[in-house]
Amino acid sequence: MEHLFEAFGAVFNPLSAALVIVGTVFGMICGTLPGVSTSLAIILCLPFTYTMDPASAVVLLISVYVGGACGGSIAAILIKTPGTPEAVATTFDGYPMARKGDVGKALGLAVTASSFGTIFSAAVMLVAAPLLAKIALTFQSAEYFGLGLLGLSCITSISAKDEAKAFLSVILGLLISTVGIDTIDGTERFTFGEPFLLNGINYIPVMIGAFAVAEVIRNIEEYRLRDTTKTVGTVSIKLMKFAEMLRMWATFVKASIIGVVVGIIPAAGGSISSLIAYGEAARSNKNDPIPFGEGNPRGIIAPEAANNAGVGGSLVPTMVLGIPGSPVTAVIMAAFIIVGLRPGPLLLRDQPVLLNTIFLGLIFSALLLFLGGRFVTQQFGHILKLPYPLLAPLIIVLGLVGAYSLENSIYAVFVMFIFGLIGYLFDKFQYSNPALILGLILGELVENSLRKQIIIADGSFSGFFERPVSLVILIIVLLIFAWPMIARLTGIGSPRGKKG
Amino acid sequence: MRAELIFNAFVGFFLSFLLFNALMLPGSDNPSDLLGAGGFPTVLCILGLVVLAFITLRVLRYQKAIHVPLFDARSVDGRAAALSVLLLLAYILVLDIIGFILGTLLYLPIAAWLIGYRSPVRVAIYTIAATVVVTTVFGILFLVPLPRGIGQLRELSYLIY
Amino acid sequence: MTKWLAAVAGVITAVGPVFCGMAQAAEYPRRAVEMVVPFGAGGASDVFARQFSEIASKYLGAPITVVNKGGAGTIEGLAYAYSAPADGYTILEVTPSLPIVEAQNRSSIKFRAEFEPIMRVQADVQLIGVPKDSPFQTIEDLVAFGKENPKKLKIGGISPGGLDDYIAHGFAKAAGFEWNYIPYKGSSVMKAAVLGGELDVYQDKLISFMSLVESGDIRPLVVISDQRIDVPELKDAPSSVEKGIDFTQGSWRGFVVKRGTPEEIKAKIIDAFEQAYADPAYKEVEKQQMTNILPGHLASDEFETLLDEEFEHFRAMFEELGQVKK
Repeated sequence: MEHLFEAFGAVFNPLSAALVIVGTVFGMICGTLPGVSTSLAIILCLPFTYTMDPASAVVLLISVYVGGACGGSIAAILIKTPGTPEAVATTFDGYPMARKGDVGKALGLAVTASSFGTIFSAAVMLVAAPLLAKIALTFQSAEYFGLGLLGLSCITSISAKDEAKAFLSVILGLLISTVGIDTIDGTERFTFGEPFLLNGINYIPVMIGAFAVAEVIRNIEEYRLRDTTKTVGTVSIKLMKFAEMLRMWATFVKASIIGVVVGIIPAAGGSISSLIAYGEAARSNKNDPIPFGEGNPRGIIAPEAANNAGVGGSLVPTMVLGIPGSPVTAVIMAAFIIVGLRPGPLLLRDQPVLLNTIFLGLIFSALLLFLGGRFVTQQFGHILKLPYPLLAPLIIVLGLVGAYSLENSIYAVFVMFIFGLIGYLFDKFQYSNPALILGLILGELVENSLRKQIIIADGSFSGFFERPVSLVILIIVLLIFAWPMIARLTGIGSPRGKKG
Repeated sequence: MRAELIFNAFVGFFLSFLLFNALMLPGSDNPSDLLGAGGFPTVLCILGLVVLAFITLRVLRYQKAIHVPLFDARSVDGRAAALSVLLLLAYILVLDIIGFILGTLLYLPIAAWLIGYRSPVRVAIYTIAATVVVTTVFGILFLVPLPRGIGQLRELSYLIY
Repeated sequence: MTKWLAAVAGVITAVGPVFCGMAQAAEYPRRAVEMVVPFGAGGASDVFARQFSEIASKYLGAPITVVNKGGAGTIEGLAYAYSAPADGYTILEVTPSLPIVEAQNRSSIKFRAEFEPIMRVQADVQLIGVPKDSPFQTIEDLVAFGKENPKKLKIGGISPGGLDDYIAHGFAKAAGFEWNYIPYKGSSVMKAAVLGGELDVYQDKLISFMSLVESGDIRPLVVISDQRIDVPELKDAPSSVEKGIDFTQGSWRGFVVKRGTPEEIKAKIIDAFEQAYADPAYKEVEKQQMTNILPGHLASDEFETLLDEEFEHFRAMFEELGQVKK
């Protein structure tokens, strides 16, 4: 308890408070801009931390992380371009809701959910960090494979229009993920001698192409028929009412738990947790009046709560084991070392106040999201006042910079362009762009962990069933895939008779 | 229906092409690596071809017409969309030659005009403002090394970002 | 509308040559120098480059901006630095990954032929250890088991065909056995695999290795070097050479510029980098990252010799592993 008071002093002094405010808003701005990832935001802050005391440095960096994890949703909702990879799933319902005119509501849901997720994960981290770190170690190749399949099972909930085509979309996504140097034996696959394909096709340019560019092409061809694009007035966040939050408490809590757990696991990032949370929300609320994919509020809450809950989650193994839980925490860990903290099993023993400082910093930063969100959306909202012929090229330029700055490579921009066309055709023929992205994101995890487990078991498949956690996950996956069939055969689970 | 059949043919060709290449991949040196580099993609390609065949049969049976304006030169809006796509391609192709700033200064007004905006003054203000803001934010504040172009343009860009 | 565009273009063509001439002038540096890091932002090599260039910019008299070009496994960074003119405004950070890419014939740009060394700044040590509940107490136990059970021991590393792959195979070959090298996506996943029991043997660079040794989770078995390490926790870990295993290799970091860079500009860069290397602020960085154990500094000619030597080793090993592209 005394540590908590000491930490209180470390966070709520004028300097640290200012750092949290600056950090959160800066993180949000970076998160909003496609192409400025949260990792980059933290790296840009690094030089300032060299001269700070460790507590201030840590507080600054984690508030940037919190801001960034939330900020990604803003661009996802406003222009269908996820600002960060974690916001992939937020586009599924956030953009449709915004198009219906509820921009403020969509943003409010995202910010509220982000804030909730952060606070939830901070509390869990404070109470159970050492225990949670053990979870990180129970996840080995067999469990990663299960987790990958669990992610893929989201397909049953994200694309109901045409199941066969959604399935083919996933397969194509998985196939595209195999391009590049094979992660197990180093063979070059489908690179055709092109060096830029060696590292494979990153899903961010694909996503910007298939979502944002395709959307622009579609709007252009409809523009002169009837201007379907609404010019928005001032964009302002409409916060959720408390009663509304209570009504959806299950979605909040489930998504946060998924976010924390997946955040703890080193090889799975925020994009995977938000997809799984989205899938779970869609599965358990099949009969909502607004279908998922067309602006269901839970479709925004689930991914946003999950990706922000990943913040606290991924800090756990970083601090307790010295094993970063996400690419962003890897950078934070580098910063720890620079300011003289050595992350690892001894950190919490030597620095008992640190955990409390981080806890308070997270909470403070989470509350500031409301303020920061208001500021950032107001600034960003200006561009939405442009008439569509002016807005569309600007969206393209922003998307292009986003794709380019990922690896500062023009090839990524070509990838964006090609997938812009593919995404457009996918929409016309009712294939599923979200399913394509899902396959692309999860492909490497699934294949790599499958093969690695077989190698480790000297060529045997038994490991998947002998390891308890793996077995449980695989059974869940099986149930999810088989459920629609079971439900159809037995007639349970769909009170309205035929599922809609 | 024809449009969709052509699309399916492309997907089929893509899958067969990858399947062919996947089968050519060498096996793994590690005897425990049962799947090897080619195993996973091979399975996916075969699965994909099966699903594609199913979808194609369905297309043939229900014969639903799908209009794709982008490839329809007769529709006005399709033309606008097609030209916009070509313009975007041109923009991307010249980025590494003329650099980001000049490229964007050219792309934005032409794109706006193609979609149907005809107010030169506003477009000019918009173009300059947008280019300045994007370059400042990404190039200067966030230190993104935006494409610089070649020769003198490259030297010039160093004065800005 | 086209009028003002023409005007803009006109201004550019008119003013351009002036600046162009400026850049060629002897007064180097006239503008910020780019430091190309052929890796993504946030990794150990990136953080090192950022810290070092911040110190070096003081002595160079111009800001040094870090540019990450992490695509295509260092090849894109290589290509980017290659496409820039040889005027000293583009400096490339190098690690063993670049000679390895050349040794594997993965890139059409031949690294050693196109770039000349400035200096090597630091050298890292690689260690091998086992989890605390492992039956192997010494490196002899491990090697003996490995000889009796070829390819049964599982050792992790980062990426196939990278430095870790080379070190794992090189060490085993020198010791006369074979093991099963399993590549991971990153250091964090590999550590989790070791602690979770998926791998039998752990290899990593010193700074990452240390935290697990301090906590008692990892028992150090051998330092892959010709000398022991002067750190209390690792005093008892023998070096590979001392155990008769004639293999030493670790990671290192240095800088190169494109061949053809004017000598006086090169001299200025070398001078600034030497001063930065001697700066107490840099010594502090080394202490924190624990990269001050081995003498890392090599002047440009020594660095060139090292690159050639290591290239030969890499080529021989990867040829044996069948990872050299035809």
